[in-house]
Amino acid sequence: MEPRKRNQTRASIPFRAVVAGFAGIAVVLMALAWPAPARAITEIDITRGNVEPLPIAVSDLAGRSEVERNLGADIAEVVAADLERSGLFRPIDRRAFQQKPEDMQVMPRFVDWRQINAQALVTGNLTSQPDDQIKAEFRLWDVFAEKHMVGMALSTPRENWRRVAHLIADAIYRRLTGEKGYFDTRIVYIAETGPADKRIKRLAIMDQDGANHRFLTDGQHLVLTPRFSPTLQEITYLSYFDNKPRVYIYNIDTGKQEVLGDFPGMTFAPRFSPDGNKVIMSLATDGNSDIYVMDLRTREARRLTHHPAIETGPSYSPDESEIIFESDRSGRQQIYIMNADGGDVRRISFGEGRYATPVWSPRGDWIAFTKSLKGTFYIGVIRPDGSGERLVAKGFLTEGPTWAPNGRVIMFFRETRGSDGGGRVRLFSVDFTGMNEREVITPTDASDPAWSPLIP
Amino acid sequence: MRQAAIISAFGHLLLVAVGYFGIPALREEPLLSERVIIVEMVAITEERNLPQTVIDDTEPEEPKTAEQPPPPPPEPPEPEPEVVTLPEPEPELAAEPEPEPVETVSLPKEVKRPRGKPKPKPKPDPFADVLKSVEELEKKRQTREPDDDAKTTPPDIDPIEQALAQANTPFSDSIPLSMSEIDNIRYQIQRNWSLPAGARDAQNMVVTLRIQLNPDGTVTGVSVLNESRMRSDPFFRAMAESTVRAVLKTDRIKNLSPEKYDLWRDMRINFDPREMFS
Repeated sequence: MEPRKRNQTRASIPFRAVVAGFAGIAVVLMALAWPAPARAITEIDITRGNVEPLPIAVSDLAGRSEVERNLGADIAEVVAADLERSGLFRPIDRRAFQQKPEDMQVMPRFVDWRQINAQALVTGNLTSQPDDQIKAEFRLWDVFAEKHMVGMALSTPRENWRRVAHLIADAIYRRLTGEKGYFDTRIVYIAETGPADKRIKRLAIMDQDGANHRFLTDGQHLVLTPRFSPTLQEITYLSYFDNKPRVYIYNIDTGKQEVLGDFPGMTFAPRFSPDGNKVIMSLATDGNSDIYVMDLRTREARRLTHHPAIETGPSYSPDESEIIFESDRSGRQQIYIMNADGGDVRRISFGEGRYATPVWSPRGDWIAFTKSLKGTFYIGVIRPDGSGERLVAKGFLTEGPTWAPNGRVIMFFRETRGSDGGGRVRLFSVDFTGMNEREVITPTDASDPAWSPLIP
Repeated sequence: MRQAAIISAFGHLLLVAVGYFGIPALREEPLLSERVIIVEMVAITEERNLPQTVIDDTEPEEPKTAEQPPPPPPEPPEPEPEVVTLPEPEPELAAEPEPEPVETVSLPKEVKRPRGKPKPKPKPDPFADVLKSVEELEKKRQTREPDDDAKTTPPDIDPIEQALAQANTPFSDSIPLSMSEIDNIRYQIQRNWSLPAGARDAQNMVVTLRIQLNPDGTVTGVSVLNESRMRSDPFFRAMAESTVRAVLKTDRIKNLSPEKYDLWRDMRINFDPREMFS
């Protein structure tokens, strides 16, 4: 008994000592680790900023010869115009520039650019290459951080210089906003000429900034609702060739066009699927319109809606899992959404007035539509779940919204009533937030615009 | 008996009177000089603790306000007048109409694939505030005037507080920066912050910067604390770079109290655009 007891005592003494030791160490550690007289680091929250266009200086591209310098200046001008048109940038008047393009080959003198309040600076140079090629290099600088942000060199045949400019503008836009650009794109639309009773409608195409305009059809047959393929330089549209309204496909590069499927009735309101492999459209038979999808590889058509009401204006979601369309099944035109196989139809628009021509944005977050209410037409956007409806443009007749490939900008057409009764129809673009509306200059009256994807 | 009753009544009255008015001060000592002390329950940093020097010259109000009148909102579509003016692509116009490139809007990711039933109740648009609709633009055009408050309002220093501070608030450098001081710093940086309009998911983009200052207020160092995200998220990078530019553009923060250099030599600034989108 005795020894055991002693053992116990012996054992308990070191244990206590250990505990005490640990406690002591802990106290010392805590004392050391405790933030000295606890001065918290000062923290400041900034919750408001300005949403003004970013001041940017686009310097001419430097060149060694007169020709190079001229072209360098032209490119800079197109870049600045692209950026300005987006509404997100404010190119600074080049007369304020203090440093010449030639002096910035290595590194700009940032002080000079800060002085004129430029937050970003574009420099570059242009050199002629053999075979009438040019090489354009550019660099984007953060003036305040004195940092190089992005740079690129592009070689191309000389006549392609505008595309070079658009590509540079896209790179700048992308770097400064985080969003894909949309300047290297084209627009197809319906060019309209002649008096109202003898209107000639031709398919026309131009760069997003209005340059390189040309007509694709000669106006003999009525054409309507052109839509760009999201992947190829192809257009689908409705033509009254031989007075039979049919959906056609037109290849811009080859000029070839073909009718899409031989249906018993009239096909209209075509639109490509995001992968470019299908065309979704309406088919009217016996006074009833329903939505069909045709696979361009197999040429097989499938019917998606079965309803006695008029279903039309279909548009795929970017992931092709769903389709939005308009229907008057409730008595008035409204926007509906359904699964890509035609199941689970839900209505998403519940406002007053009539909703038509829904178009899903390539970014997926918004749907643009046309709305008519009390004699006025609007272009609006709404979320795919039916929330957040906002009207971004209005007019006596505004219609036909189409999205820029980055899902930021909407183009549409607007008809204004002339005093003599003759209307004027023009294209307009507007940021989907409702800001920055601009007219898109076209040589003739214009309707039904369709924005191309970025040119591959 | 009656006398007793009268005395009693008088006594009671006296008692009531004393109870009501209190005992008259017998030794009318002049009270200590009176001083009203206003006690307010506020968090410590909300207390103003300004050394007088700062108070006086709060804002040499930058002329900016003047040169930037409330930008007219961009023309809303006006179809009626059939005046066929060209789109006025002149750069000046575009420059100032603050097409608020909009604060972008970034949509909550979930919206992307709405799958499933439409939410029964469209929730209030979190961007409604920032995004414009045609009507709002028109309304704004009529009503908008004085300019956006917060942005240009100098830190408010009201006369009472100023007086108090000058009178006898003891200044202590052990107290964190006061509201006014923080406002002062915030204001100077915020007015230089241009958000990349159109950034997506802007409501999820809180950027934290660490900035270091010289004793004269000059910015000597800026770094983004959530830097890893900058590499993976181009929208975040654009946003973060815009905040760094704001600080660099501010260049020197003015009206700081030198006594508190320890408190502002090294600060964290959280740029949080969420409020702008809600």
